[in-house]
Amino acid sequence: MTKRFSILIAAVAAVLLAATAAGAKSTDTTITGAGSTFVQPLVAAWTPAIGKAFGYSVQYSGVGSGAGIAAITANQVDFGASDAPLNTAQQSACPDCIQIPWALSATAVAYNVPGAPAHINLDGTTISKIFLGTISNWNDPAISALNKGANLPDLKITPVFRSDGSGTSYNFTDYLSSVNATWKTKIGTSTQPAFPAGQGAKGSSGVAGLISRTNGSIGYVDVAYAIKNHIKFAAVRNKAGKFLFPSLRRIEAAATAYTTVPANNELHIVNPPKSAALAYPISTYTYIIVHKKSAHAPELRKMIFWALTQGQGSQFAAKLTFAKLSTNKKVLVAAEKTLKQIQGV
Amino acid sequence: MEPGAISLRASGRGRRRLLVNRVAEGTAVLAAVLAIVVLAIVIWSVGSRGIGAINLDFFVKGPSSDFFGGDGGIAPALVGSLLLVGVATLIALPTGVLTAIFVSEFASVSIGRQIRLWLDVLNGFPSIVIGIFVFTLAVKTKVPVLGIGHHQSAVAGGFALAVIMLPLVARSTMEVLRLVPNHLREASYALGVSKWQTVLRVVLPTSFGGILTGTTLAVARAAGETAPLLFTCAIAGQIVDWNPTHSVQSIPLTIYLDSESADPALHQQAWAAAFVLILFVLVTSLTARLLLERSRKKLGLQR
Repeated sequence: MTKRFSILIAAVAAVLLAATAAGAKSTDTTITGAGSTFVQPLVAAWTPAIGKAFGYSVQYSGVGSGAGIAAITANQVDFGASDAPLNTAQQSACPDCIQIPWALSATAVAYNVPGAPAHINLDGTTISKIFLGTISNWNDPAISALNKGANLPDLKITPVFRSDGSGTSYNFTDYLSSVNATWKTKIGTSTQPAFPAGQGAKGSSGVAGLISRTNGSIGYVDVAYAIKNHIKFAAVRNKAGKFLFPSLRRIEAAATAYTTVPANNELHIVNPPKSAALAYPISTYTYIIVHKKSAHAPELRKMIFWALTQGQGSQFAAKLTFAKLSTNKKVLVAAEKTLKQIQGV
Repeated sequence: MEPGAISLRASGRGRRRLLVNRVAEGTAVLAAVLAIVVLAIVIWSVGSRGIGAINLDFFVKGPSSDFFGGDGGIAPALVGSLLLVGVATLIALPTGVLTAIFVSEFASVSIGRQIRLWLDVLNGFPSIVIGIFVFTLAVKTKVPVLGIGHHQSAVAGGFALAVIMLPLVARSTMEVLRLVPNHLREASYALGVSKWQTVLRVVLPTSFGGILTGTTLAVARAAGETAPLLFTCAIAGQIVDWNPTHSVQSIPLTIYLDSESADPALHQQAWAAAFVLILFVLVTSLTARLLLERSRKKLGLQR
């Protein structure tokens, strides 16, 4: 009997030892990150390549931009990722946090209308009215006016939005605020706006899921998620009056329309000026957020530099509709300069 | 009916009693059948939805790194759950067994009663509160030496699960220790063996099977817990990670996250993961029953 007891103890000890040994062997260093679901597919594609290049693993958790900022502020992870720049309150909560733009993409206005044509044209004013609830049927004259000849059904519109703190919401409301004064005063630009109409869903995949399940729905989601889930998305009118779909060239056109990068790297490229005639108007940079003093400073510097350079390669980025950061050289230079501020503890 | 003959048929009050008896018995049987049927429906509906996603890749691969590519598997969650439950067992088993030994062998009756009461209170505690407690204790603040704290980790999650397991292990161990016949202890004392040696060499080995049963049941319970992990071990990456000081995935959280996704393939994975979890709990519970049966037989207490 005593023998059996000692066998049990020995077995438990052996398992523990094995687990510890395996743990020590397989992961000498792990960089942990959390945040944006927008950039998650890109980080997932980067992870094996970074592991191969530097010999450490990156563990990224798509919890949403808002939760990602909270996680890096509370030191729960080595880096946060957000499509929205830090706001004043967030920056003062995390005074040594710096944000570095590391990817460039766009938000699609996706819809699920049975029988609708493959092409739907929308403009900022109409989109904002739909999300304010003042346009509530697909056969509304405002929509028909933008889609001459298209036969849109008599169907209730269900706006779909992100319920969690989201950089995609920030990008979308940033755009709507810049085209519609009513939106700006009533709702404003926020990672968690108070939408007056519609239904919420969690994460990019949650929004894509709700849109594909709901007839008559319209929502905003990263282009890659819309493509993956076979959801149609609208051509959106830019300042030059052109109706454009989000694509690499349209996003690049938006990125090159700006020539200055502020000291804190906060970039807004929504609704670019008329001169950028081919720019998709709801494009955005997405940021990695790190502490200036980090226990994993050398690994973070290596990883971010890799992401800014090789990570922009077409085998990773273009496939997921992320444009190259080097589209606007000034942004890349600013990002690399900021990178140097990351120092060891 | 002839005068003077005694009728064997129930009449009046007797008949009413008989009727009440039948109704009560019928209701009880119906309730028992219902409980089984519910279990069967749950297992069948989860199994039939999830079985399609179960293949080798499902167990050995992590989520696919290619956004438009294959579905991958839940290997990180399986490993994570193993780590979490392992850490929890390492903490809860010794603590629980020692608590039980103290109560049943050493403590005075009144203190024993107090400890039992508080263990039962702990057992009924909402698991989310335990999660928040451990978050404040071992995630929000830095824990010296252990290399944890200031971030979520499998150790923190395992600790939260251990708090849930502790009362289960302690209470069930107390029950088996009580079953150990007193004459064994007395025989040991009669041979001049000291008290601690009696506990270690006679009482514990005799109740070994029972302790294992209690632990197995507690493991089954801990493996399915989601709430304590939300604050302590939820921000996890996509790759298999054996390091307990890192935050790891777990099966219950994977079920929750996958089921929220837009991708039907991930929905199926969530069902499959749920099915795997149910099977695990089922198998451990049945093993526990078998072990209990065996140890009862050995103690001559077969019912």
